[in-house]
Formats: sequence, C-alpha cells, structure tokens
Amino acid sequence: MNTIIALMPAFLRAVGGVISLLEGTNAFSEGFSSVAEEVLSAAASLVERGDEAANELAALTNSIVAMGPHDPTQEQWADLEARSNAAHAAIQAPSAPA
Amino acid sequence: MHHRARSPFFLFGFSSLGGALVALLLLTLALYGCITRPVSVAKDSEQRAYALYGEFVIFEEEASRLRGSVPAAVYVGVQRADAVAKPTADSLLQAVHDYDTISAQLRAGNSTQDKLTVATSNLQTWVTQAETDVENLVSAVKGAKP
Repeated sequence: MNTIIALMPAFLRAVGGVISLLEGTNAFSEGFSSVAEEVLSAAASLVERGDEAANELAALTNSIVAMGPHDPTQEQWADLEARSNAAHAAIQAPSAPA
Repeated sequence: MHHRARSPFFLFGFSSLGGALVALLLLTLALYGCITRPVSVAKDSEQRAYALYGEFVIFEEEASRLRGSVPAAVYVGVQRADAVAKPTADSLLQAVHDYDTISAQLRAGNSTQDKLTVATSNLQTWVTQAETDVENLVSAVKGAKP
C-alpha cells in the first residue's frame, strides 16, 4: 500500500500528460485537458507534500517487518532517541524576534 | 440524426472524463488515508514501543520543519502537542530499557520472573499512553500543514 502511495504523484502526472497528448481528439471537450492536467498536478503536489513523512513511515514499517521475531537493536533505539531530542529542541526553541 | 460521440471512458464505467477524474482523485485520497501505520506490523510490546516512538520522531521532525511556514498561533498548538508527547515518549523509552535490562538479568540468573512481569506491565502501560499522545501530535502536525 505504501508503495502505491509513493508512486501516486508520478501516476497522476502521467495521466495528466496523456490527457494533454490526446487534446484535440473527440474524447475531450475543448479546454478540458488543460483543466484536467492542472487538477491532477495539484493532486500530485498535495500527495507529495505529505510524502516525506509517508516515506519515512513506510521505511519504519519495513524495518519492523524485517526484524521478524527480534527486537530493535540498541543502535536503532539510540538513533531514534537522538533524532527525537534534536527535533524536540528545534520545536521548542523560542521564535526569533520579529 | 446527429449522435454525440460516446466517451471512451464509458468502457471503464464512467460516462465522461470528468467522472473518471473525480473517481481517480477520490481513489488517491482514499489510498493516502490508508498508509500502513508501523505499529500495525509490530509483533510484541517492544516492537510496538519502537513503532510508536519511531512514528513520534517522524512527526516531531515534520513539526520542526513547519516552523516559519505556518502562522505562529498554529505552531503554538504543535509545540503544545509535542510538549505533552515528549515526556510520554521518554518514559516509553525508559520502560523499554528497564524491560531489556531485567530480561538480560533474568537470563543470567540475576533477576526474578516477578520483576520481569512488572517491567512488562510498565512497558505496556507506556505503550498505551504513547498511542494517545503520539496520535495527538500526529493530528496537530497534519492539521497545521499548509
């Protein structure tokens, strides 16, 4: 499922491209293809914006599947802990004065 | 008599390209809502803890990238959600360390099954708490995204 999501922006843009290529055939009313292409491109951007977190969630999910019956290693825990501390410090840092 | 050309999308059950597009966009949104959560593949308490802590970290990092790109008032909500979730995540991490330590001691003959039972129960308690607090952080970050 996560792979399908990752491929979705490219798929949406490809569909938009095909529609653009077919412009002028009797499949589409005039002007429709540009609107369709814009809508599909906007949807692709929307998916991509959330893609970074989605890709990381997919990688985390895959790493847990790959563990099989074993538990995470000390290094894996230490990596997450360091990342959390860094992100927490960045989130809670006072804003720069305007 | 003039016959209107039948749309090729009729072959796929759609009367028009517009219908096909709407269906495609709805499918995209539906799929996006179905991203597999890491915790759903975890096989035991420690893997569940790792999945939740990992998800927490991913959305903390996502939250840190939002600074400056969302209104200050919105970002305050994200900061609050992180401030609540972080102590829970730290306690979850400590509970995992305690569980691992007692497990190792028990294998070496230096602890008791009772102590492991307590450590396991403590770990499960923090897993349950983390589910709530991480979900709140995820909602705050998703809600704040422009």
